[in-house]
Amino acid sequence: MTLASSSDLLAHPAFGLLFFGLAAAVLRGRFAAVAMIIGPVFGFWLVSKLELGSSFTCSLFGFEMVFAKVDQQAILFGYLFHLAALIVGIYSFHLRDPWQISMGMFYAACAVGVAFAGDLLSLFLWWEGLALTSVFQIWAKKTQRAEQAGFRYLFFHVLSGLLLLAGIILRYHEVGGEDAFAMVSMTMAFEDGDLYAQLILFAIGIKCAFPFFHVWLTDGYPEATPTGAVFLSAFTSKAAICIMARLFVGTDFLITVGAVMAMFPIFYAVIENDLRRVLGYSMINQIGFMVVGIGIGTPLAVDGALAHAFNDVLFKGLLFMAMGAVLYRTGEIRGSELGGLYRTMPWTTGLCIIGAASISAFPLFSGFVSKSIIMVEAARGNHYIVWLCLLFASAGVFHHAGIKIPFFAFFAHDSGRRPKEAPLNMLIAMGIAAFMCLFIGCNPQWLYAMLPGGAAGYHPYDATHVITQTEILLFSALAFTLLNLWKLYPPELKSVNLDVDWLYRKGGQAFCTFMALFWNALNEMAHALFVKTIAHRVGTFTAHSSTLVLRLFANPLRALGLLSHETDDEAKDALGKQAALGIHPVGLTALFGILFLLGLLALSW
Amino acid sequence: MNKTTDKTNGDPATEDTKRWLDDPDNVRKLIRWFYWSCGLIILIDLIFSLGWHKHAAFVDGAPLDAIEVWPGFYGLYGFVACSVLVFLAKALRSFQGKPFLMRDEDYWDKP
Repeated sequence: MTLASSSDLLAHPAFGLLFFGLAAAVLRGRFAAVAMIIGPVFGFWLVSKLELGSSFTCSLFGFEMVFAKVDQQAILFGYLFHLAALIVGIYSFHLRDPWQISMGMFYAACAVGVAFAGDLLSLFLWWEGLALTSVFQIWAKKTQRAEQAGFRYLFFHVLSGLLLLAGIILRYHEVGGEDAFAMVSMTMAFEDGDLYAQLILFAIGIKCAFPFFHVWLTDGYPEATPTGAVFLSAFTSKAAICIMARLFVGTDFLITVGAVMAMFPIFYAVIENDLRRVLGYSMINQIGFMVVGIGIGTPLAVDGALAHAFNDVLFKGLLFMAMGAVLYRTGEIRGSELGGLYRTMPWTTGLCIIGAASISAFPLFSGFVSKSIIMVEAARGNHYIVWLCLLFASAGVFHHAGIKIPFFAFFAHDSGRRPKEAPLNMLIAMGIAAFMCLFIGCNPQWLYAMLPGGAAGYHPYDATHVITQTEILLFSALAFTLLNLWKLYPPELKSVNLDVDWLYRKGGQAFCTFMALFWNALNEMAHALFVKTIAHRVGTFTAHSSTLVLRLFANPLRALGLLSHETDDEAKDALGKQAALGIHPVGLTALFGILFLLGLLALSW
Repeated sequence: MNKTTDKTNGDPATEDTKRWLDDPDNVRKLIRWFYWSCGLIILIDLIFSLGWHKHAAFVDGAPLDAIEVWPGFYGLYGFVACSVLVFLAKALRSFQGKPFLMRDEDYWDKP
């Protein structure tokens, strides 16, 4: 392995996070926590030094690999992931678990690597890194439940990596040459039914939580540590969205998938009790909007999807941080066991409400300036059913993430819990995220300027849009208020809801039970037949066959009075003993010998 | 934007210090303000639709073009959507008394 230029690789945008992640693994205590702050800041500086159009290559196993290629989209995600890493770093400042800290930073570094990946080979390496480093945020909880959830989570991500690799290899065989590993649009190939494009989209789809492959998210994230869930919410799915926006822009199939993703999770979110799982479902709902934007494929729609990914990291992170703070202080995250926390956690409550307003896309909050682009483009492209679905999802997301999360955690009935306010480092991290939500909501041009297409002349704040959006949100809130007052709203119950994971969690159990019953029964039958019956009989036969043969010849002799045994039984006993011991009287042996030779003589005639 | 309006069921505080929200009268007051703001936004929508040109999201001739510009369309859609959402979600929990998706909390831990 030779590196094209080692100094080049030290300037790779992920280097800052990798190096300080390594430092955090070696250092202990407060030093590791400080590394978690310096790493993202240093990485942020590295990203700001990058020149558009430059690239980092190195040759590995005879392949020229483009480890990073700098374009506007990569820089956008580079800034985003470093900002997210910084916020989570501050949020986790109290952590003293070197595994969680260093793996968290490697995880962020892999996300940066994915965003900058210049070809499919380096993408695959970062992609696998993303899977392997992220699972530690779940395992770090160190309960059996978390361990099992971590393995289920890992299963999906390893599957995604393998599919990506299979797709890349197929593409290499099909396309070949210089272009084989290039990050170019695969939309045509996908729509022509090329297997490699389908596999690669499937691989990205798993990480984007496509329907039926979304359970790793809603199963894994709620089992993570309070800080781990914030880590997880920021990187995996957004990195996948970044790659989808490079490879599959304008794929019609994505519009339908995105609309389904925006719709179905909100039903689950309304009846879910675990508030972090509610956020998990709401995350799929938000990713659905981005997938629709990429599917529509106009430059403005893709800009909308990317802008929404940027905002989603901030407001979803903020909500996960608020719920993490509640979990950290109370040890409880079930809506049925919470309520009334605003009395002692007013700051967390306020910051959570800012996050809730942002995800609901209230005017002046960040969700408003990005979600609206996707809605407008869906309408302009005349996807009216999809547009109705997205509008439904907009109302729904306000319902479950905007109202339900703050309401059931901080207000609702008084749970009697009086936890302390969240620690200062958590409040600072939430404060930064909340500030960013408001800042982007009030200065959308700041975000638009970073987009690849600059959101070409889009203005979110026109009167029609502000009025209609406020109207739909207020009336969604009205429905919540009235249904709650009329006692029609489903109460938070101690329960779990079945999802697709039932198929493999219960199905897997049933499979194991069936296998155990079937194979064990087969094993016992085989044992009874071969070991106990046939082998036993063969053994008995071989043990006693010589006696039988002897008796066959001895009985006529005894009848003639040539043998000394009186009775048949006596002869049997004596012959049996002689056969078992291998001893026979010389005379008898000689007699049989003569008989045998005579027999041969007779035959030769 | 008046999110605090949804804080219904303000139970009396168990602590000595009573918060503003702990008084049911204040909660009722909040809800009343919220109803007014709902009415206000409909009024603004109506005035804006009549007095100015409310530009449609869809191109002319699209199936939703005519409906989408109605004053109050978004309010009605939001209200109906959320009600449908809640009732369907309740049906997903248990349908006609039989549990559909909902299970006990220890469902996964049971053998």
